[in-house]
Amino acid sequence: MLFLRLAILNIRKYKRRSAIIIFSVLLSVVVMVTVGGMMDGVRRSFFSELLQQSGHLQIHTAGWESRLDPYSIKYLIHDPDKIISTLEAHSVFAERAVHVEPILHFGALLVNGDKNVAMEGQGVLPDTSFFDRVRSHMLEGTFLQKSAAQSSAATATDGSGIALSASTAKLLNLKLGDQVVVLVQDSTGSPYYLSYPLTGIFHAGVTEIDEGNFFLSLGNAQQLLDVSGQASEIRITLRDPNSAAATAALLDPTLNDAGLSIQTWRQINGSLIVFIDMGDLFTLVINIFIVIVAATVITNSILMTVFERIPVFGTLRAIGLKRRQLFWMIIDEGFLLGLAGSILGLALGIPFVLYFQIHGLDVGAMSTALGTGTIYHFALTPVNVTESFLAGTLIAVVGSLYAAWVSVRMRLIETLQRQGA
Amino acid sequence: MPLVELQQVEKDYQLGETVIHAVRGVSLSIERGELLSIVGPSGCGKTTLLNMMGCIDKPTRGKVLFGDQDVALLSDAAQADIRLHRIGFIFQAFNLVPVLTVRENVELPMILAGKPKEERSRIVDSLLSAVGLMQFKSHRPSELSGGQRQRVAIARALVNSPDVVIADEPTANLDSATGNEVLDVIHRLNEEQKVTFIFSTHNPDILRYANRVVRLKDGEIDGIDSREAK
Repeated sequence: MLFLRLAILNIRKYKRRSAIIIFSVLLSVVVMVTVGGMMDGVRRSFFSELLQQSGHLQIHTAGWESRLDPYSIKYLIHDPDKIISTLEAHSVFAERAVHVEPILHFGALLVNGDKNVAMEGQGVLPDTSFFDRVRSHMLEGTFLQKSAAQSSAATATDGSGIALSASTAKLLNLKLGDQVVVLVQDSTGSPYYLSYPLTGIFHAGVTEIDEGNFFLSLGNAQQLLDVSGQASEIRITLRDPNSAAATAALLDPTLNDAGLSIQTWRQINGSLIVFIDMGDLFTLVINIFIVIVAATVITNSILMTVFERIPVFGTLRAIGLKRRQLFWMIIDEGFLLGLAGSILGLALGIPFVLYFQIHGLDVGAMSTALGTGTIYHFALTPVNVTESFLAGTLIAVVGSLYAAWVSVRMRLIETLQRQGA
Repeated sequence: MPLVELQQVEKDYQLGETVIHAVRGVSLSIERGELLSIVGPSGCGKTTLLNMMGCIDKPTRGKVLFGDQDVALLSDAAQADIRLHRIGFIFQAFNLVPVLTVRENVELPMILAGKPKEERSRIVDSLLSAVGLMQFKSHRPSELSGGQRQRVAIARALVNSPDVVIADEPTANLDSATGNEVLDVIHRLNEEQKVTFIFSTHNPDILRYANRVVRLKDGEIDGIDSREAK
């Protein structure tokens, strides 16, 4: 206890240097918890939004990955309902899957008078569990209007209208209820068009969606393309995203027999995962840089205070303090300073992260690459808080190591001669 | 067996290309209960000799035996143990820990020795009373006079009941009246508790307290006077 008291008293005696050390640790912890909170927020957005949109597993026709035309009719799944029934009959799949749904993607030209725009059409069930970012950001109307006669469960033929982003509606000079002409190349390769009422206007807040996608019911899309009962893919949501690879491996033989292939969310979002991994690497590099800078400042400051106290250390060793005890005494002091700096750092950093967790940080076009909204919400996670706290404390301890090493290596006679007596 | 024995001890210091012979062929035995004084002019090797007797420094040649142990052959930790349990130090500049109170300074060696709290309290109180500083136990060293600080150092030196107390010019930083007070305390402890003291000085006035006076000159023993201390 006396050593602890000695450490506290020394910290108080050398106020300025102690303050520099505490401030260095504090600053490091604030930066680490903030950068970590931002990256955790990005990761959380990715998992909650992007994976929600892409699903955890996707089934396509074999060879789909190497297609040149992204909307080629050649790669459609001819009987998705039958495939889904087969999958649902599989006990492991039934246990792991939460939702399974066919989707039809197609290229189209939206036309209103002399205005037109090329976009990707998404043929989905009106009560799709995907595209939450669109469904939950409707500005006017509904996502896909169900027919008056329909039952509670939507079918492929429900949904009479079309849903567009506000920016597309503005571009085409459309308002809710207006008719939109959708021009496509049908299954025979001939141009074909149908007109739909604009029943929903959304603002997803994701440039890629707002400027690139419109939505029709799956039935309308199949009718438009003349591909009755067919779909581009089957999307699956699992209870645990981490079970995707194992589930895919399990289903792969069955699907191969049907001329289909299955991909996990890691394979589907490969480039984005690389982006997130790079973000993690970037965070690591920042943290290492912070640790090096802080440890240098701390090492110098602790070295200065230690050198001022060499005569005291000499006295302590003369009365029986062992080198090992002296070493730990200096480390203890570093630990206490690190602890104080880390606590203060968290006291400052946590509210900062919480503010951006609630209000978000508008990063504008930077978010396009991730396909999430322009507002990033930070995430305060126990792991980040714990890691930042431990790293802050560790920086001070590491910073003390050199000073402790230098102190214990000095010969006792040299330390006493520093008395000047 | 002598408490401390020096056998042909020599100590050299290298200053650039020059070798300084600080101590040359000193042989000396110190018996339990002695109050030995080492005298001589500045630079004659008094402090160097005390440092070697106190396991603070090692001889270049010769042996320093503490009991039957050659201290030069001991590990650093074993030397620290001897300093902790068997030697008490009183320094010219007091060498108290400035951030600790008088009581904590005195208690420190007992904490290092792992003594229980009750024993620590009892012995520290007793020693502070013996050196007349009980009322200053909560003071910091900076709040005390030179004489009071040196009395704290004496209490600290005695707290682990050492075999020998080594005092390097304990009165050098004190006025003569205060110096005499400190020497009275040392003399009393030697007389009443048979504590062995080895102290260096270049002040001839304080030699009257010593049983034996070793005169050093240029690192060599110039003479030894044995006498009955007053």
